[in-house]
Amino acid sequence: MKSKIKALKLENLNILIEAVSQKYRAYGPVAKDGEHAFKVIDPESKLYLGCAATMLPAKYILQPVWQDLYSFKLGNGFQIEEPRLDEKLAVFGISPCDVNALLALDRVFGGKFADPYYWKRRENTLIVAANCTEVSKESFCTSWDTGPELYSNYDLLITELSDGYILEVGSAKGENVVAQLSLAEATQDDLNEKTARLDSARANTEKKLPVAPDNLHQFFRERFNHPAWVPNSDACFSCGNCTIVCPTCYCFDIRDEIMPSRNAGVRRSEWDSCQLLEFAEVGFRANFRRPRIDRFKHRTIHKLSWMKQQYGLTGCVGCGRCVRWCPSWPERRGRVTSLADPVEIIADLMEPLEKYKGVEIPVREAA
Amino acid sequence: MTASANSNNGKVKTAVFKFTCCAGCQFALLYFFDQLPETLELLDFVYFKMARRKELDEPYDLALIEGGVSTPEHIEQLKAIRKQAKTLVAFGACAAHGGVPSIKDWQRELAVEERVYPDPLLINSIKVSPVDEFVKVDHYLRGCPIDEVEFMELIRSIASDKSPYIREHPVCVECKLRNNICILLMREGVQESMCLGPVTRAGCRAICTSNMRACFGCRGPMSNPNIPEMVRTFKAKGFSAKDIEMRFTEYAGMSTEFSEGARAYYGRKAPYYHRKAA
Repeated sequence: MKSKIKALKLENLNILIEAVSQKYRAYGPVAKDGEHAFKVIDPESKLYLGCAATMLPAKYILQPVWQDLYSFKLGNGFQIEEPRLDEKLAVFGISPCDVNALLALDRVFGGKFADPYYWKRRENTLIVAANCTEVSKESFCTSWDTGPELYSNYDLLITELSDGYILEVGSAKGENVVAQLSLAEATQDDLNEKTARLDSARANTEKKLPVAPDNLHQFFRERFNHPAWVPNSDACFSCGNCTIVCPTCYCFDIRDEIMPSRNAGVRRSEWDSCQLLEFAEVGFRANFRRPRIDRFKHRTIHKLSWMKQQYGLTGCVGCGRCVRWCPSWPERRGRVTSLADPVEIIADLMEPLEKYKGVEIPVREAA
Repeated sequence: MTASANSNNGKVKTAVFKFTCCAGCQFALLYFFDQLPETLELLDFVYFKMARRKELDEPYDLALIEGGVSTPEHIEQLKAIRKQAKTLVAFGACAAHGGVPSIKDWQRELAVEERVYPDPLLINSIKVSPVDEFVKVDHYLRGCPIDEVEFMELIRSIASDKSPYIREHPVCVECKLRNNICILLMREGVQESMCLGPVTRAGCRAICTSNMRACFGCRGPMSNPNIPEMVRTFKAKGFSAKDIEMRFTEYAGMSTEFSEGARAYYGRKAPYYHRKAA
């Protein structure tokens, strides 16, 4: 995407929300039960432009949790009715890591077997991203370079300043929205403040991946049967929270709901999780990943290594949601953060083998 | 067998029986007549004491068993029902896992009887057991009370002779899908944060946690719950062993998995009838 970077000064967000809401159904991170969630917003809404602010990532707007694929009816032959997905959507305050996660989802749902439902929504969506001027203690986006600053792939980009916002335009779609606002150009001071703020956010990110991203594939190959997987997976609930809040997880299940008349129904998709026992279950209740340890390993390695092999983009953007929402109690094992934390898992795998004397691990072949 | 093979003009001949419970699930069923009229059209009730005065017409296609077994007579009645029913459904938490009445199973029977009755010698009760302790159960509708959507799915499946989709994953999945904040993590130290969501079977549409109440585990254990970790988590959060025991025995203490969690309190002093699964 080639476009001239245009930086504008925005006094307050509400003018922008108002302009966007005229054409788009706008979502943004707003307060919910003491936390934040993406909800439909109006010009009066107070947005929270923090780092990985919401529990469910913005992907649930593009790939809804429950989605009616089509409804069917038996009568004069077999009739199918598909939903119309021409609604224009706008996502406000989507953080740089989430935009990078959407790029990964684009690869998954694109390519040879493109998902039309996802792409219809994706093409109708206006991305109003927001740079993170502070990074939460769970995030490690700097290790992947997926944050706190976004360089491209946005329509509009907001950066918070001490006296307003800088609004950058990244596409023609974004240009159309700001054209009607008649905003002033940002001054050099504003741009300097933006750089200073993002640099300090970067410098304040303490969490780092202990292994360079390029070496992760080799790292996991070597440690596929490392005993550190055992105590880690023993403490796992297999509740699926880490995958549901993950912005790059894409698995879903499809089921038919039959109407009581039994000649009509709806085919519906729902998010699924590889951490659940029934996920890899096939006929006669055979299961490819019955032991908890296999499921635990699958999530970790798929995110950090296999997805890169498969789609060319890594499955982890370092947003820290899995770290935050894993229900296992971290203090118990003397850990700093929760069980789902990829950084901690890697750290455990780097421990010398002597530490795990007597721990037996079921040996599997590395992919 | 297809739906048309069912006895009453394509409808499923259904009988509803009550054992030891509060009858709340039957009450929920009455409520469904209003909410899900089309689904209930698929059923023809030949015995439903709460709704109508009609003597039992045997045999029947579907028996909905509500409540746990708590007297020797119940066992005989239950086996007689099983002989007449093509499909038997454990209807609600009490039939599936013993439910609230089974809290008494963790005390001496005499102590329980003495507390209520002036002369325990006249009482002939036994430990409350789930229905599947004595007869084969084809389907389970868990929960206190049963869930509307799951009931709808089961009835439509039975009428179309297909296997129903009954969720096996934990409540956490349904809760997170509803964009709820995690109460186990967020509400520290208070009683409300003692959420059994990570080990309890879903299907309830996370109704309690969506309203900021902890999961009480009324639907019993999920497909492979990590009970030791759940107990350790509660302990790390500062809950006493008695709190943990009470939470696990509240609805499904008779399931192998939850009784394991409750035993964390009793330790080696667990009542003898709970040692078998140790």
